[in-house]
Amino acid sequence: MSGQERRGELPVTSRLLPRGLLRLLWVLLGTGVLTFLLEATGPNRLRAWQIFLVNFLFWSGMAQGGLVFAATYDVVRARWGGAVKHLAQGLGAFLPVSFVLFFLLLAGRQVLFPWVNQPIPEKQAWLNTPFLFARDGIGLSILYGLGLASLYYSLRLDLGRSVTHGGDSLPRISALFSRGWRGLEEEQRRSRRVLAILLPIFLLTYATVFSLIGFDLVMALDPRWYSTLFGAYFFISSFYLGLAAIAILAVLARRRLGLEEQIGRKQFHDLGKLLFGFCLVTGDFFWSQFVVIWYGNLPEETAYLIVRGYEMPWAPLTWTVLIVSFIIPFLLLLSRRVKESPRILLPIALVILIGMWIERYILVVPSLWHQAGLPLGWIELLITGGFLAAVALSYSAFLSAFPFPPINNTLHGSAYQRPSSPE
Amino acid sequence: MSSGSRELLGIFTHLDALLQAIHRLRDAGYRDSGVFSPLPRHELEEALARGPSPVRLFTLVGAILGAATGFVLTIATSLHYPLITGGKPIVSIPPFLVIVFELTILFGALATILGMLLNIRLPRLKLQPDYDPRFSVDRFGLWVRCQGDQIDAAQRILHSCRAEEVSEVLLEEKKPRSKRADRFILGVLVILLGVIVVLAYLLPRLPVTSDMAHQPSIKPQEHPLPPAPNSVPVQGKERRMELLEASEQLQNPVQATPASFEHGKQLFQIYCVPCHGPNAKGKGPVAKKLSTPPDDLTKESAVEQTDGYVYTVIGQGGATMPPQAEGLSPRDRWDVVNFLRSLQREAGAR
Repeated sequence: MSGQERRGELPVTSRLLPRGLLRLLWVLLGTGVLTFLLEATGPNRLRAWQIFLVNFLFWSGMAQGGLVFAATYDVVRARWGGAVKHLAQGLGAFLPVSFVLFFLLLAGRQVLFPWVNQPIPEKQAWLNTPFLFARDGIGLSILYGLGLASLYYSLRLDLGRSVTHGGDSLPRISALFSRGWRGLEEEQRRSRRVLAILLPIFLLTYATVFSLIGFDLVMALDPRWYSTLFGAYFFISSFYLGLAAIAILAVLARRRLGLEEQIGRKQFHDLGKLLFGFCLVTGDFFWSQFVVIWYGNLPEETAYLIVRGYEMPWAPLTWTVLIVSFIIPFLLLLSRRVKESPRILLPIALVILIGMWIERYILVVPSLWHQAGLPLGWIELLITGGFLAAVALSYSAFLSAFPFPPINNTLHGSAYQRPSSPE
Repeated sequence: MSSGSRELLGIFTHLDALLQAIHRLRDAGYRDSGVFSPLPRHELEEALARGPSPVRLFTLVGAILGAATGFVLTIATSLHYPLITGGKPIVSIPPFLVIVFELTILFGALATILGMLLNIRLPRLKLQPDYDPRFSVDRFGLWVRCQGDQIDAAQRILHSCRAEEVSEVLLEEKKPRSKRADRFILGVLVILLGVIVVLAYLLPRLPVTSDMAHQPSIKPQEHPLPPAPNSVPVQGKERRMELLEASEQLQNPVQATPASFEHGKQLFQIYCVPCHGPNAKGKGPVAKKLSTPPDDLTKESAVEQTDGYVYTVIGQGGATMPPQAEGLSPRDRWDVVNFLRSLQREAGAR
């Protein structure tokens, strides 16, 4: 193909956030940690722990969603948006933090898990502290290990390429990643071989382990309720919110890092299509659970829905989620123009993401909170802010450590592009 | 088609050269052009700037039609044949949505295919004269139609964009689809539409049964009541009647035959004699023990009562007399009445 070569035009080090914002994030992180530590031992123990769990599930799901996106991208040998893939991979930087946070749940098990103090005899063989933390801990270490390993091989290839393209000022950590470089051809062969095995296993592990997490950390909060599809719903919805996060990052990073060439109309169109598709799939999984529970009308199953859908103070939140994360995106993303325009895609993805946070909240909190009023105030806001800051900081660290690979988009998109702005 | 119109065909090996040629031709004011391509590329679509495809309208209309059909089908059939299932309301939207979704997809997909075929004018029996078999293998073709005096400029543009070959197509060979074929297809479509309209008019008028009671079977209590083969008749319970009503309305259905008389006598001795005595004068062996003596059944006021009255008293009992319906079937009681009448006659004659 005789299109223009667009290599080596990218900034080697990419600083997503301005210095002032970084400082603010550190403050936010500190406040969040401090609030959590103070409240988790005080009278508001339950509020601190439940919002911790909500945020753990939400942000870990988002981080996983990013890696799953990148893995899927490589498995299907996609070539439509290498820069988008790199942005998605960055979300995986939160996983080591998430792994530590999971074991922090051990300290809150008395407060969080009703079956610790009031065990259910028939389920005790499955719902007991040592077994639950062992199986989920092992599952998460396998999943995160596979995710980070695939990240390593994928990044190594990209970084090595930029070494061969004369990137002298590489940050130290990415130099570490490309140590023992054996030449592009050899490395490509090796990477492809390793990733061809690693990535499919990673994707299957994701489905398995996230189902397990959904069953153990969310469904078991109401130990008498069960829905077989819940695990599948949990991992699909995690991927959905990961996609929304990637769309937001694509819009923000495009301007900030000067990626207008790499992330254009076509990439936004594809991201929009993915969001639309997974909006439908997630909605379908929700519906499949709902219609079975609705039709069976068994008291032990319907209680879960009735509390959330028809009783105060949860009902307005539940309906907000349904409208904001499913109905509105479905209707808006039908249009191609909306999908292609970053200016419209950004608010939609943002609204989906906020809706999905409320969805995680509504899955967790009504099972635990049996007092009057809605537990949503400063404590929740500050702890959530701390999590947001942790994710943003690890993300920014990733971007400054790993430069964008020289992406060759000539096959798709810039083969012939009239000089027109997507906005 | 005006006689001054001519057509050029350029053959390209590379997509970007082809795209460049399309843009240059467009910029030079050549609007009437098109492409043969061995593979679908979005870039071509954009370069030709044909605007949004009309097929999507077909999809939208089909999908909405499918959703509407789904709702009408499920709701109307449920209302026509209201069977409560699983304790749910007759019109219960959640499960209906499954059907609505399926029909939305089905109608949308079918309408898309139909719209596509209509818009690209398939099926087509003859190839276009400017078609080249290479366009199905590894070459792109770009045809452009223009006035005779502009053809040199167009040829120059095609050459400048590295066209592999540029040739002129003889337009006489290129005939539009005949009017008759067009009319035929349109006619078939109109007839189909007519059939659908007629069906849509007729279908709601079919005599659809709207309840289970409306079926060719014998309803409860409907006559005649044919006994099932090999069945044994079982006497049902009789309607409880007030004494006054019974004495006015009940007719004795059993004729006072000797057989009835004999049977009544037997039963009278079992059930009545202990209190009322063997000749019904109220002097049975048990009567001595009772504070209220049993009635003399041969006295005038007893003789004057109708058969229905006596029958009912036997069944339901009197002031102190216990009801005998449990031991005596209706037939038995009528026999007792017949026998009692004969006793009364005997006493009167004496």
